[in-house]
Amino acid sequence: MSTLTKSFIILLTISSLFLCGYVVQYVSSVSNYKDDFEKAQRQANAKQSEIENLNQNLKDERNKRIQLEDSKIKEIAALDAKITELQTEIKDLKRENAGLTATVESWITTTQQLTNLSDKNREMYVTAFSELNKTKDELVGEKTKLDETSNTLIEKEALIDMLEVNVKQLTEEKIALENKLNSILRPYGTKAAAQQPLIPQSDLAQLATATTAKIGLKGFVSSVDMKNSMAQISIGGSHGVKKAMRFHVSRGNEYICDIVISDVAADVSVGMLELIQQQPRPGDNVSTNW
Amino acid sequence: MSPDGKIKPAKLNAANNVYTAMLALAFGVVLATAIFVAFKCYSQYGSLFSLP
Repeated sequence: MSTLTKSFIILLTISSLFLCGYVVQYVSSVSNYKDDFEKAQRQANAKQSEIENLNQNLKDERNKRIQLEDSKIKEIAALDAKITELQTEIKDLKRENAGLTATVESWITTTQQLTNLSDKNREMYVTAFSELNKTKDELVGEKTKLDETSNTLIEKEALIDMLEVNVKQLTEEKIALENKLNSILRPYGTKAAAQQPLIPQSDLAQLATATTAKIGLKGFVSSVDMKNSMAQISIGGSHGVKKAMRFHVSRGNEYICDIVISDVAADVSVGMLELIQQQPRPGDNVSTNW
Repeated sequence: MSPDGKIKPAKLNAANNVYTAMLALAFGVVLATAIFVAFKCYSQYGSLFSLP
């Protein structure tokens, strides 16, 4: 065996030992790529499934969000409609409130007017009642005076009857005396002259005949001017109407007011309205006596 | 070389047992390494040569 062969054997052995040792060390220390690949694949699968789950969740969340948005949009639309309806109701209520306020104000004004009218009526009632009492007192006094006057009148009438009897007796006596004197003087061609009364006629008391009669004028209202409280009636001076004459206006059995004549024409008259209880209208009846 | 023409097989004898042993050691180490690598490959990848 040559030396070269020996050297090759030695080198082959040594290199085999080192190379095999290195190979064993490398193979022992190298990682298991299959396991790593499988782990990585499992992780990738897990991640993929997780991604799919997340995508599914995302889709679900999107669907929920879309549904929620739809429901919110519907709620918003409903709320908008409700807001519009409420605004319309608010406008109606404001309008109604304004109407009611105006009604209340008108009622307040009417109440105040009625209160004032009631006060005036109360004052007028008090005044009329006091005047009525005064009139009653005056009427009692006048009645007393009338009774006294009636008694005096009866006495005077009795006295007048007695005096008339005396006058008749005196007249008969005078006639008898004149006849007697004429029969005495007739043979002498003379007759008794008419005797003048000893007391002048103007000095004799004249008995006034206080006769009263109802005037009885009737007509109707031809026009009314409430702004100036005036009215025109259908009768005038040719019917006997005179200035300051008072006419009573009536409608059926209702008393309306009085008209005091201020201007008189031939066929019509114009006067002021007084004691107005109701508004007179053309066609209402007027008369001087109620 | 003999003139009879008969060739007798010569008995081979190792020239040196030490170098033979060294060759056997090297062969055994390489074989053990190959077996180890093959075991590793089969245990980890399931086959010796094909890719999984």
